[in-house]
Amino acid sequence: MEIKLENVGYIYNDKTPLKKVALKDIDIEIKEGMINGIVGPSGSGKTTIAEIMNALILPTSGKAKVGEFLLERKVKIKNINDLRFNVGLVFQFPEEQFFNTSVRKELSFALKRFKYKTNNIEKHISDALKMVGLDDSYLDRDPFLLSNGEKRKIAIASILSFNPNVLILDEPTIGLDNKSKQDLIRLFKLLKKRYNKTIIVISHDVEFLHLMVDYVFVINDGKVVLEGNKYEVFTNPNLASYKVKPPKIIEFSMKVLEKKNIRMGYRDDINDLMKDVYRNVK
Amino acid sequence: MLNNIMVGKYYPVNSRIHMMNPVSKIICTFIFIITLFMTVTLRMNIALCMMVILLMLMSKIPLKIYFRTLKSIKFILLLIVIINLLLQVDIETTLVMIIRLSLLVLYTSILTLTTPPTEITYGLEIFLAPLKIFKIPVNRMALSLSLALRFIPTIIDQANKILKSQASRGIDYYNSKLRGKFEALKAMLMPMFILTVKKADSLAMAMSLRLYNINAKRTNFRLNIWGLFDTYMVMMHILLIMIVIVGEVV
Repeated sequence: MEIKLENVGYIYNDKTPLKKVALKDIDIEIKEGMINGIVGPSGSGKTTIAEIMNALILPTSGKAKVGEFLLERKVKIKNINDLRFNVGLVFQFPEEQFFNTSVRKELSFALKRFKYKTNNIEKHISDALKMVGLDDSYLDRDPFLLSNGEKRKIAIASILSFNPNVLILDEPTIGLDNKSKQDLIRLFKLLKKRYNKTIIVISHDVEFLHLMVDYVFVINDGKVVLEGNKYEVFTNPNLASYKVKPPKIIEFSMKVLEKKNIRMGYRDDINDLMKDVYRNVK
Repeated sequence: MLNNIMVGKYYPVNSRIHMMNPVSKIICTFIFIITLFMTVTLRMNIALCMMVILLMLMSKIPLKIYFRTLKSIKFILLLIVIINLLLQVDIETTLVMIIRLSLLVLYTSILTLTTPPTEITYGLEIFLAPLKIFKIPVNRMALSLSLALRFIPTIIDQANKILKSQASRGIDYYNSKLRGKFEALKAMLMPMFILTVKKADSLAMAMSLRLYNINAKRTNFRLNIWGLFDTYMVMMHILLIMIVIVGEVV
């Protein structure tokens, strides 16, 4: 499913003293069937991009193409639910996403709205819970009373339940422990590999992003300042000037290159890097 | 989505109305509300309307912002028209009722759009100070009111997010028919209640942690000085109420 933003701008509270420019002439073309990362400092406009891709807000300038839908200023979109059925958005804060009194209702909400068969709903809910590492015992619990990590998992499961082609996750790692982060990485890689899903992860957690993304967009001050595959982007010497710190593993390799003039290569896993270090020491 | 609701939002521009002392603004609002309920003729209501428009222009806030506040009461206005039509009330009385309610909303919007919530609290505390003689907890009342005012934009923001969450999963309030709108609103009530209670709870905790004492004597960071313009405005409102008493009551 094609997702393309062309010269997209977005201004909150336009023509008022509270005016805030969130995006300025942004160009993004999401790579289909890949895990795309959107990284940038707080307030750089990442969440606004996610909302535009889900047609929750329309660009104030430029145009966005999501599948067959063209999103422009003041355009009335017909069959908007077709777009939202194909593009699932997991909100930044799970509490802002929940509006049901039980996990079962929360997970089945979209299935009912998108007209899934009633006898299939229970199976979809159960599968979605399993995907995020939870079991059916959560179904009758109140989502507002769960721990932060569990809330985050339920928020992801409520979107996975209706099986969208594109999955947008806004800061999915907030409140998650290291093991849950690793589980998420495994899940996203599985969704990409087995089900050919396009995944867009919006985050400022570069350590998490570099372990799974294929293609990265760096946003700063409402513009795309860098893009490319993760190897190009995370080793770019200008990265720090855009208020994005490279992952620690890359930082280490770059320091070794700078101080000892030894090229370590790009490693995702710390164990591979250790092997490289031993090899070079020998 | 709900960005059009301007109730309780402060609009920062530099105008004579913004610079007025909050106490004088509250006195003027109080006098105006009494005046408004004393006017019964259409002629006098139109005169009050002119005055409110003048104040709106003086505040240097775009008129469309004020009309947004009117938009939020369009259903109440419609209800008034329907009830009056059913009861066969004459057109003049219906018009007076509509103008009266609209002016009430517009005038209070002038107060909230030109005064930050903290200043409103200060103004109310001074305005209601005489009631302390009767052992009425004025400071508690002022604090509750200021917190309520402060939370209106937060609650609207929260409602906005819930509507977005619903929209992303199939109920689009703005693009659905009456049934969909009803479903969206129904689904919004419970989380709104839960989140509001949670926010109130964390606010109370934050205030306790900062050792907030309701009975402590407070001073102000910025001094609100009563200027000539304040006196002029209060006098103008007193004159207005006298004209209405002479014109309508006597």
